Amino acid sequence: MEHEILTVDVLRCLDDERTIKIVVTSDDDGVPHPAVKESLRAEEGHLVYLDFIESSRSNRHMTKALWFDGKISVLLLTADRRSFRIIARPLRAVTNTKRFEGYYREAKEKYGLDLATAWILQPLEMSEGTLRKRVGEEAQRRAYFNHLDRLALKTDGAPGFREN
Amino acid sequence: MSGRSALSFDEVAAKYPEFPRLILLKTDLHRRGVHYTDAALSVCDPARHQTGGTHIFGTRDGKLTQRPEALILRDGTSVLTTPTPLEEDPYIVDLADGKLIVLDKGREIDEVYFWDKPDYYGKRTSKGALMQNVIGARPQRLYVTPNRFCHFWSGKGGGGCQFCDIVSNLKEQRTKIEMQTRLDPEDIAETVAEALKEPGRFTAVFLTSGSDFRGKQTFDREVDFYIDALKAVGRNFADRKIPSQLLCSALTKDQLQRIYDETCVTSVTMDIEVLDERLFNVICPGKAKWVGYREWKKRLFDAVEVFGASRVGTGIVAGVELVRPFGHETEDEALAADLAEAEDLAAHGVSSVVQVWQARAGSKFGKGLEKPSLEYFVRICLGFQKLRRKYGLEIDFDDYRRCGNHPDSDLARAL
Repeated sequence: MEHEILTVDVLRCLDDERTIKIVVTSDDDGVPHPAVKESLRAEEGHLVYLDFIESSRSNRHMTKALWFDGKISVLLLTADRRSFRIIARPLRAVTNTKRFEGYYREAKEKYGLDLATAWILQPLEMSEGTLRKRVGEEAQRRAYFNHLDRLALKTDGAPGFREN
Repeated sequence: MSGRSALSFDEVAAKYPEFPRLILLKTDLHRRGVHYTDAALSVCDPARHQTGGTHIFGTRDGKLTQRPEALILRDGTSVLTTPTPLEEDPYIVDLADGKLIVLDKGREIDEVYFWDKPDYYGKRTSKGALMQNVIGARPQRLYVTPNRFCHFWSGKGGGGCQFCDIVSNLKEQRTKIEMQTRLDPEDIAETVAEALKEPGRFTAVFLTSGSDFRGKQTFDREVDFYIDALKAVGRNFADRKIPSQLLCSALTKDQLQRIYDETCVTSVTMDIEVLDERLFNVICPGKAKWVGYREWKKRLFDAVEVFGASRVGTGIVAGVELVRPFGHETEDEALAADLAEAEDLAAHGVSSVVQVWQARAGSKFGKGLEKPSLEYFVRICLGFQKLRRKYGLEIDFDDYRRCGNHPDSDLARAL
């Protein structure tokens, strides 16, 4: 099921170093905490990222989400301005074992940093948020959500300046 | 029995939604113990996984065999397990669809994992000592025990703590797994050096011993062991101070200052075991004879002047305060006493942590005693963590990762 959520487009986007990857957690009051997570990638149908700071807000929020069945979201923005939003739930915090050692080596070699936790996330939903695509969807599905002047004939009789 | 909560796991979870279910599971795994099925044991590979035997304490079933030492939960929480006879109603660790799971009365509770053993296990020092017998390992902590014998159990000692099986466990370890009573500092230095070759494995060093009241001043002998051992540890590090914890008898301020000044250690824990003077005298007669309850507390306060606030702790074996016939009558009464004393300690910069009492076969508080309820442990864990927040105490030196044996300090990573 996770493989269907992480489509070929999303996997390609996750693999591309130019993609900006943002993980959004939230605190007890629901205040979102977005943080760029360059290390975010797909592994065996799951999302994985490395948290380098044990006392970080992301790490604490993620722990609470795991403890209390909360969800987090991920925003991916590609170099060609496409964007994807993924809803996920923390499945596991890897803080030890040989699996941790592999991530620890990566943190040291690639980022020159210590590692607190490798977070394993289960993707639940994915949607593309690319503006052009969303505008097209909106025009098709929600016909009332348009200003009329956008639909009006221009003085030369050509259709209005609808963007779809 | 009256005075004890009768709520089930699910009822406790529902009543305390602020208490994480995984930590609730850990707490109850400690409280009730575990039984590994043959299927679960079949995937425990002694070449890869850490098996029991080197821990300072024994098991509920009294067997010293190569069973998994502990479990890891999905959130990274570790659970030291005490294999428990089936008739005592433990949780079952089984294998299903290739995954290790915890079962309670046939119901799957959660997935768990075995610990990977460190690379230095199985190697020997230049003097021939097995390195895992020199230094044991938690998932991310080195566990050094320079002297495993507790002199409270000797003729002049006054009596060991009634819940403790350190000496009976040591006797078995000596005959079955080459365990040494005392460590050679050179063996310690070599083992630490070998352990540090494994990237990302360890985050802290922990040192403890049995109490040794001998010396010019009471406990001077114990102090000497620690200083020698900590100096041996420290030889492996560039920094003078490292993330570390010393768990010792209630030493005087002068003794603690000497240890702090001469070694790499950065935190100290002096376990008072039970937060009630009358019960302390009954349950910990050796500690009562050589230090006394009030003096123990005073020395904890003094320790804050040496190590600083958030660097001093004391452990209690939660549950022994309810053992009949001398214990508190009800859980409410016990909780009130525990929290009042813990608050006095916290106000002086000392953090109290919970160790869930497990009736080990080799202790005086062995089989046949009634366990406190799960709800009791939840209330005390929440209470201790709230006190830390109220008094601004961090517990980084004894948290889920540096230690992993206290469900209350497990909470500190997020609550």
